[in-house]
This record gives sequence, structure tokens and C-alpha cells, in this order.
Amino acid sequence: MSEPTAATVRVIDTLPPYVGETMQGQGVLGKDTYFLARVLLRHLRSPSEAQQERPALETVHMLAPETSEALASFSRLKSALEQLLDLPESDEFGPSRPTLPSTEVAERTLFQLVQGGFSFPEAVDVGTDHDGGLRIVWENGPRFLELVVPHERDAAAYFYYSSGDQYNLQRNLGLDAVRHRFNWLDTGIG
Amino acid sequence: MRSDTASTGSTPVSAKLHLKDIHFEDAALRGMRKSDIRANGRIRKGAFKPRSNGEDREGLSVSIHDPECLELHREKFGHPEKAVASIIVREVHEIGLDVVPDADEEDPRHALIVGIPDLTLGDAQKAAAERFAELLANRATVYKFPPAEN
Repeated sequence: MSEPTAATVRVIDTLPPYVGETMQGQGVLGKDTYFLARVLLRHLRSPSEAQQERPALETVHMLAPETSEALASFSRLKSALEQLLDLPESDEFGPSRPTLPSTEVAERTLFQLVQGGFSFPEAVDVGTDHDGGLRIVWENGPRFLELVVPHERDAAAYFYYSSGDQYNLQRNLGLDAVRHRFNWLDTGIG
Repeated sequence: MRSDTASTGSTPVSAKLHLKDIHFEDAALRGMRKSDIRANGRIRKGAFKPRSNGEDREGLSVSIHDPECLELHREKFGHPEKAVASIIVREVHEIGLDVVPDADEEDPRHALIVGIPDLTLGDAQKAAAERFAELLANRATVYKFPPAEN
């Protein structure tokens, strides 16, 4: 990766806060947080169109590789979640559209990994169940991991995971616990 | 009960409409959303999770595949936004669940997959219900009705 030019640095200084921090370094999750994620998404969809945002893309290239990878995963997930919000509210099976708060819980759960500089694999399935609960699935060989965010606002989110005959729920969705679970998905240890 | 049939559950057989035995080799059909079919062709486990409002407390609704009810089931499940999962009754038994008849006026081959813990009772039951949903979904395939005869 080439050294940033003076012009690039100047552009970076004018960018909104990104990667989960305000200009004062406080953690944040809001529209500014998604600035680079959205740019990356546009780049994935249409590289030529994204060239018009070259300064921003140069900023992306300056991120550590693992952060860039994590942002790319997060961007694709965010896009999938946004598509779910366009679903009809319900059908004969029950609620089909997730609630906005449930998508925000999912985003917060995973964005903390990006903020921490950790990557996570791309989900193999993002959808809702017949309760309108949000379900995001990752698989690695025999290991199955699913983030479940119930439709009901007062119901807590959890991981369901299984491998072979073993299965369990994980209620702790703090950064260390989430990292541990993705490590388990990757290595089978834990 | 014959040895090659599934349990008929606690409901008296005589109380059922047009009751037929459920055989281990029968296919149980379950209506679901088209979106319950994943990109890889497998079925989402959410299609087999009991609803949290308690509507599935008695069991997961299925219809036993029966050539005599083909048109009835085609009408019941044949909607552009719907899909149908099929699971062999023997496989339901192999994971520790049961299929019992639950015939009604609209569907004489309606049945219930029973034995799934009530997921509203606690995390252990919720985990088990999630596990059964996973096992059922892994064993189910997408069912396609044969072309209708005009």
C-alpha cells in the first residue's frame, strides 16, 4: 500500500467520523459510522461509479487490511438487513419484516467487532423466521452459528450454535463473548 | 397400533375425521415462505421453529402427503409466495419427535409434529426447540407438486 499523499490526508481531515468513533474518539453507531461502509458497498456494486468518490476510496485503502475486510463484511450485512426492512410487514405465516430496533441490535452486535479491528466471516443467510425474528447464519463445516434477534422489543437477542451432537444458546453478546464465538466458528475451539 | 405406523398421540382415533394411519414412509408437508429456501437450496430452520406466540404449542402443522388429497393440498399450499417442505415421518421419529393425526374439516390428512419443548419456558427449552428446528430443516427437502391435470 502506498504512502498517503498530502492531498489525501487533507481529504481525510474533512471526512465525517468513521469506524465507530467521533472526532473526539468516542464510540458511536450512527449514519456517520456507516460512511465508509457505504462507500465500500457502492464500490463492490459498481467500481466505476465509485471512482467518483476517489478520495474516500483512498481513505479505505489506508485502513488496516483486517479493518477493511471487516467493513466489507459489515457493509454486505447492512445491505441485506436494509433489504429485509422492505419486506411486507406480515403474511399468513406471521410477521415477515424485522423491526428497525432488531436490525440495530444485530448491527451493534457485529459492529463492535469492526470497531475492535476484528473481522467476521460473511453470513450465509440473512432472513426472518415466522415470528419476524431476525436470523443471521454463519457456517463452517459442521459448525453452525446463528444470531437471533427476536421481533419483540423486550426479548433479548442470542446466539444459537451447534456442532455435531452439541448445541447451546449464548446470551452474552459483549465484544469478548462474540469474538470467542466467531473464533469457535473458525477453529472449533471453545 | 401397527408396528410400521407412527404414534397416533393422545387424541382418540374415533374422534378423527377420515382418519388414516400415518406410516413411517409417509411424507409430511409443511407450508413455508418461498424465502425459507436458502440460496443453496436448503431450508431455513426458522420454517420449523414453533412460533413464540404459543400457536404451535400443540405441535407444528403438517399435512400427510396423500394422492387422494393432492388437489386439496395443491390448493392449500399452491400460492406464488409459498413453498412446501417435505420430511419423511421416519426421519421425524429418528430425531425423537412424533407425528400425530390432527384431521380437520379442511384437511383430512392434517397432522402435527409433536414433542418439541415449549420455548417460552426457559433457555434450555428454547435451545432444544432451536435444535429440533435445525434437525428438521436439515432433513427436509423442497416439495414440488406434480403438474395439474387439465
